[in-house]
Amino acid sequence: MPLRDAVEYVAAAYIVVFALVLIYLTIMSKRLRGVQRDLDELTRLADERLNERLGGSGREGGGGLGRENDGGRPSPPHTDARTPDDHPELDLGRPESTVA
Amino acid sequence: MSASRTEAPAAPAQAAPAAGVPRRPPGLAGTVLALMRKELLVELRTLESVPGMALFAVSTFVVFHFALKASAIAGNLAAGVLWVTLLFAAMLGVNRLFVADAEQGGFDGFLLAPVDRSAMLIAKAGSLLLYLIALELVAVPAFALMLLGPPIWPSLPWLIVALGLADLGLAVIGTFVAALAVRTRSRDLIGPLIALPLLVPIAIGASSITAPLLSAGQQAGPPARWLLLLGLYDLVFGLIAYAVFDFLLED
Amino acid sequence: MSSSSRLRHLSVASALALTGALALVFFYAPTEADQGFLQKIFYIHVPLAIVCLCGFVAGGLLAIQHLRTGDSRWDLRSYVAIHMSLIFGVGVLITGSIWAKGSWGHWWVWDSPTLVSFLIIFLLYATYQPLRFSIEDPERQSRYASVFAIAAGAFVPMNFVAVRLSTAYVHPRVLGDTSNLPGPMALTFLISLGAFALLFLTLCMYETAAKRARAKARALKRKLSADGASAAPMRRRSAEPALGSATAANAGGRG
Repeated sequence: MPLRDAVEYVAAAYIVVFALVLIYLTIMSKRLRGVQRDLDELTRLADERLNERLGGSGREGGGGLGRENDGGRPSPPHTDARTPDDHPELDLGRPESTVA
Repeated sequence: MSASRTEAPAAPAQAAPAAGVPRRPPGLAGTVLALMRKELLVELRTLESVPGMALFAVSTFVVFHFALKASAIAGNLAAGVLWVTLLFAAMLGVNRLFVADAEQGGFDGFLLAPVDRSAMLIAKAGSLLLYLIALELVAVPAFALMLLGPPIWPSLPWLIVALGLADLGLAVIGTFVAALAVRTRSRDLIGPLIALPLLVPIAIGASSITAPLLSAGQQAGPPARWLLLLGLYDLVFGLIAYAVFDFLLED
Repeated sequence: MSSSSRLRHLSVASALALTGALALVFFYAPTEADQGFLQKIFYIHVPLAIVCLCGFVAGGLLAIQHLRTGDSRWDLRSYVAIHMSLIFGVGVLITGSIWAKGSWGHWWVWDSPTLVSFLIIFLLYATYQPLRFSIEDPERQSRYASVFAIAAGAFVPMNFVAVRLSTAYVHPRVLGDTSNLPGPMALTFLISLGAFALLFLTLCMYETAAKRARAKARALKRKLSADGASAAPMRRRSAEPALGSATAANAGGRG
């Protein structure tokens, strides 16, 4: 087949593969941004909770708080809910920086 | 009394046990036979699967007549029409294979019994095989009468061999897929979707064997390659299904 | 080596390998006499296909591990491998189609046993996610998905044999016959194969890391809001495997 047409077909094939990879990376980065947003919100929630408990135990002493059942520990009750600070490998950074 | 409640523990009760003597649980063969007896009894009483499959096959032949605008087909076309119809009719039977057990607690009863769990795979596959044979007893003569050009009698022996090998594969794969699909939300859709790609090698082998059989004047036996393909595929898939079936039954 | 630096190294290696392969394809490998410049598609189509099929089989092997150990991390790896292979499979079908159009003038040819086998396998694995999505109980979902992955993984080689048998006597010429490759072409092919394999591994690791992170974030959110006024309802809308407390332990990537 003439070279001109062949080049078009070959280029089309390579571009398709490239586009697939790009689309995948775009979707991945959107997801990571979502996770980042979630983690920010969770940090905020955790900070709120921390302040509540510190503030609450200061006011009510040993009376026990209405909603608490864990004796006022500052961390969430379940041991496997670790924050990104404890597990740096979860810290994926900004999505752009993880794409080499 | 629900006909689908499993009778596996009751199977050895044919010989009335002496009072106080503990009964040994039935071996694999005994369990399989008991389960198959139950399956066939249910099918005979309710007539859910086989008449529907047979009727579907005959109706499909009618549709093919109009779709192809042909009254007498032979060779590749005939083999294709026959096998596509048989495959889709088999899908109907596959869809209904485990439905009663799933809806009426037959799985739980079976799991509680002290029997080898693979017996359910063998029994269900065996029952499906019998349904397929019943289907073909209706569909193949109907096909020969309605659509087939050349006479079918000379090629009958090899045709039966082809049908038998293909039925084995259909039964094994059908049972496997039925067990996989029965507890999903869209079981009637997922079953055929998964089964059809898995059945392609069987379709390839079966129609390759059948095509020369359905042509005028070709009486030689099929090349061994296709028989080997079908046989090996049936064997390998049977082994795989046997190996993983337990995981499908667990609750 | 923590998983994020492993990921970074893999990404760099993949990028380098892909660039190197591209360079080799267009500047080093000789143009084939028979098909001309069009043959260059061979260097992405076939490696994509090989990596994709190995990925499907790997998904089956990982599923065996899952059923043997009951650890849901194997299920996650199996899911990611199959998902990624499915995406690569789309690439195989499209590049194969383009090659067929260029070679024989049709977008689809039944004469090519590899392409046809591929289509069948693709159709089978395309049911993997609908299957997962339609089972609500997470434990049963991962178990049934593993059973499917094992059977489908075993089906891959059998299907190729069957289809090849059926087309052997129809059309002897096969798209992209890889036997008797001269030296420079063989080298280019191997580099390209390695590059796509690295790409596959890298993307799988990304996906695994992203899923783990998302699952942990969701679990955290549930626990934190369960402490408070209303517990967030557990919505499982996607076909992703559910990650239990096993993920709280080692969050390192594959294998």
